[in-house]
Amino acid sequence: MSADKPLQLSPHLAEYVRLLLDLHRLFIQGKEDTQEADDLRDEMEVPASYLSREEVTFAQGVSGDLYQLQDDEICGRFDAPDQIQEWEARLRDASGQDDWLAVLELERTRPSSRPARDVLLSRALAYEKLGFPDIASAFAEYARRAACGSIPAVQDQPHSLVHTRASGGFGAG
Amino acid sequence: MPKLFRVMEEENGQPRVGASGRVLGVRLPGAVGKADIEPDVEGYVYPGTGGMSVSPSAAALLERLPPSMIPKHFSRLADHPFLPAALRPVLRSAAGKSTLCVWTMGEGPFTAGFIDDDLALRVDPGDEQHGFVEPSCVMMVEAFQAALHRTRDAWSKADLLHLGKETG
Repeated sequence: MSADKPLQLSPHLAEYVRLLLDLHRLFIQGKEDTQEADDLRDEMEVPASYLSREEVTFAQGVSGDLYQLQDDEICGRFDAPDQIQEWEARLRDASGQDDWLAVLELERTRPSSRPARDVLLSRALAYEKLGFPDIASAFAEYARRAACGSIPAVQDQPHSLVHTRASGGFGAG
Repeated sequence: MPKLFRVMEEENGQPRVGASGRVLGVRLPGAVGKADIEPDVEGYVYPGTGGMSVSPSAAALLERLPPSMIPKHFSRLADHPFLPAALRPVLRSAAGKSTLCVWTMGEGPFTAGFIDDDLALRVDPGDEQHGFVEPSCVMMVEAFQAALHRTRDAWSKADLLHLGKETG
């Protein structure tokens, strides 16, 4: 989904994303290969069958982001100072223009030095603004627990499969 | 026969047959989700009116799948050096059943034409990277579903290590 195209929140997308969050909650509990998880995936087939191509792309982004809640996110990373400066400017522009899809996209390929908590809060705000309060709450709650030290596992380097890319194209597909 | 790709659940080393979006077969009215084809009042189905979704490559297939349809273990491929950049955000989202596999059959170009006596490929007019396996002529919906199920032996698991090369 292009970041300059406003997201139309259909009932099917809302339902699919709600179930997707439930599925990721099971992942967090280590229940990814359980009957409970498979039943949920079966339930997701109904809204999934009505999703447009743009909605599928959005749902893919949501699911990839939700892996941050189990410190298992795969994301693009970069370290060059000029890239970081450019990225920060783009993030400021996107949030200043209320382009929350662009904010989400930027967070998927971000500076290595960006604190995990900042990403969590940025995502919480973006999903809230896009009309997904439950997803927003999940990120905000995780950030809150991380801040008070009850989630020692939150790392600024979130996953072993971390990319260091010359340009921020990871999430631009 | 055109080369086709589809995600389906595995059962005894073959795609599971049935009537859902994750098996070999079509969703019918009244079943789970949006119907893939609508029989008329007498139960006949027609060419050009819908059918089983397929894609011309594994990459094109995966790009169109919601996360719950992409096998969760595919996320390990997200860092593969040959993976096209466009597929990384797709695979990082993978959240599907472990029994899901990418299956392929046929060898020819992804163009409209007969698959066998009862089935034909129609390329999606709005998306050339997507198509429908449809009835090749007017037939009863049960005959169409049975014809799809009879292709079970023709499907084999796709080698995803060639994903990058396949898509350039």
